[in-house]
Amino acid sequence: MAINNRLCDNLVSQIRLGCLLALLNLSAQANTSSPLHIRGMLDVQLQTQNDGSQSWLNDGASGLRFSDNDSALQLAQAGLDISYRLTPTLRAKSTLLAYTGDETEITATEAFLHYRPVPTGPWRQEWRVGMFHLPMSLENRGPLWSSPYSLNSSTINTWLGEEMRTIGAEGRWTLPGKFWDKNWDLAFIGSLYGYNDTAGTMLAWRGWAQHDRIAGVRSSYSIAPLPQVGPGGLFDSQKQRYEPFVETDHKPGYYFGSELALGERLARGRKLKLSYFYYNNRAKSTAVKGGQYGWRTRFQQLSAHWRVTNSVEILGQVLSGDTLMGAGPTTSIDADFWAAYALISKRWGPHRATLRWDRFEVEDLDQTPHDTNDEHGRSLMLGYSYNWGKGWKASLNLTRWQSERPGRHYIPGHPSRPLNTQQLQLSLRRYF
Amino acid sequence: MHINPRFSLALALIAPTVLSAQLNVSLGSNAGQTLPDLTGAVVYLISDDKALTAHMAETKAANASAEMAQHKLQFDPYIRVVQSGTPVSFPNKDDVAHHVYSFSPNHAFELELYKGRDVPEKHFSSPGVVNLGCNIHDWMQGYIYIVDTPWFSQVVNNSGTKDSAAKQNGQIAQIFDVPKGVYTLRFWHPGMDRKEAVNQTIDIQHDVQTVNLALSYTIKNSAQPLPPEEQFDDSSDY
Repeated sequence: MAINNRLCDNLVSQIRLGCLLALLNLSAQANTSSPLHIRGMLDVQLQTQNDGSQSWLNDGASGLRFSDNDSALQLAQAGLDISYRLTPTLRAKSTLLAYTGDETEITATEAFLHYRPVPTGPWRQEWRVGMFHLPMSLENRGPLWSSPYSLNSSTINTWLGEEMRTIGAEGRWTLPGKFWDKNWDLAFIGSLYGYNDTAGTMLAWRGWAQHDRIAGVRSSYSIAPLPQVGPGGLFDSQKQRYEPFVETDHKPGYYFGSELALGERLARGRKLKLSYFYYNNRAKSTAVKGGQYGWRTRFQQLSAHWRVTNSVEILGQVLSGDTLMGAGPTTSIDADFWAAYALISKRWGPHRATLRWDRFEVEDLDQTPHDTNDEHGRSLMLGYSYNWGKGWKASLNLTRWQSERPGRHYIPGHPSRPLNTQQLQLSLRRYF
Repeated sequence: MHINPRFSLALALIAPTVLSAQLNVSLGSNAGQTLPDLTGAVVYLISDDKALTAHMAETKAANASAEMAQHKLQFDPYIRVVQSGTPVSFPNKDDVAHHVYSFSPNHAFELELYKGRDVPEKHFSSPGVVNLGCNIHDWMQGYIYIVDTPWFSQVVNNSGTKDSAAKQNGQIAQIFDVPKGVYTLRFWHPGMDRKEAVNQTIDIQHDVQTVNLALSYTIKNSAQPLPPEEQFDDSSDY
């Protein structure tokens, strides 16, 4: 029966994927002056890695996307960014994404209304209502929230893609320098949202990760077989599948922040862009709903994007926060976490080379037995890509992922040694 | 700006009777600055003779029209000077939609400029700057400068030309068909501070007269912003 269900699920996924590919084909014919604007991307990858580790998407403990025994050839992702102009100042936008391989899925990662009224004074305001990404990633600026620099995102932005989403409203008030004859732009951003109460689960029970999977509407992921999680364990209310976008307590969360862009105007942005954000999902840490716990997760985020020249960029992002689930020092999870990365990228003609260095940590602060959540890790990513033009791009990524996480030994059969994985990915992308 | 041929003919007939002249305004700096490219900067004359101004302005306005196009994701031209009341059209020469706006005092408006849609011309009645933007393409910046006089022109930059004679002229504006007499010469460019004004008195007595307008302050390089470089795998900050 279970096998039949799985076959059925696979069939449904294949049909959905077929529909998506048909839409991809249509998107190439979209007229730029029409109210409908569709962009798409198809990403085929060849991948290999060296240490036999199992991906978290395959009930393993590795934070990378693929497992050692996965097929080398993967349809890494296919998707569409759809934007429809309802009025001159109101657009409906959505992103549909399909993944094959472990946890095959078709989902909507964003679906929202974007209201951008005509400025009537020096402050420009913008509103987004619906489901959309937090506005913090410096890397994920491409179609489908992809990165122009690399095939996987930094640990920070991987986490923002898999556990974080605004399902609510966000306002942005910008003071553009051009309205004041100034060489800087200042923006303030604030949001109220719900359905992000389980954020923090992955950091505690899996740890940090580095991949390109983005969670969407009704996404759920298998949690590795940890004895403390699920029936018979200390945290027995947790279902075997984790759902990232759940409201457990009907309390809205919030974030606010500011962005400052400074200096001369280069071909794609001002010389330096700085940002600060504070996020608090205000989840009740003792709430449980539908097999998901509430995790009160808070963090601060600082970032800098320095455009050294039109072809050289340096990016840095630091995120630090804490998460709390449960009550009582021996029956809860209380952890601090932080991650940071620095990235340097250079373009020359159709070539781009990128080097990214990541550090990430989780520090377990509770005394709950048999549930260690500590993690210390680092990674280095070396990427090269070639843009043929007309939407074709080939990329080569070498990622070295090192993570020491004692809690991995709870997974039956998992060796206690730290992970030291080298992953090679070769990708061919077609952008529409 | 398009000048109606009938208007040129009318001017030719009037010219001898009012002893009209040509004024060349050559730009320089008193602030020790090598001037940035001031192409499009506005130079105009104000006369104390209200009756003459009104007569000439009426004649000229009746035949004038102006265009502020959107072309290759920029305003074209960057700066346009018009006499108050002149109808200004905003043709969209791109394949994409534009949504042009201004919130400048006395000149607030917005125009949805989609392909194939008829958009009425705008009439700007009060003198001053109309600071233009596009709500879809944030980098787009342009200016319409409204003057209350029929005698105006815009600066041409000859410094990049290969013609050595023209090159010597540097940055120059030429105003034609000006009746001889005393005027106040004024100047405007987006790179000047809003508080800085030029009011230079000149007495036009010759058929062709050249004056040097030496700017006494530093002027910022306010060249027209270029559209961001297109990349299919990345979006820009603009």
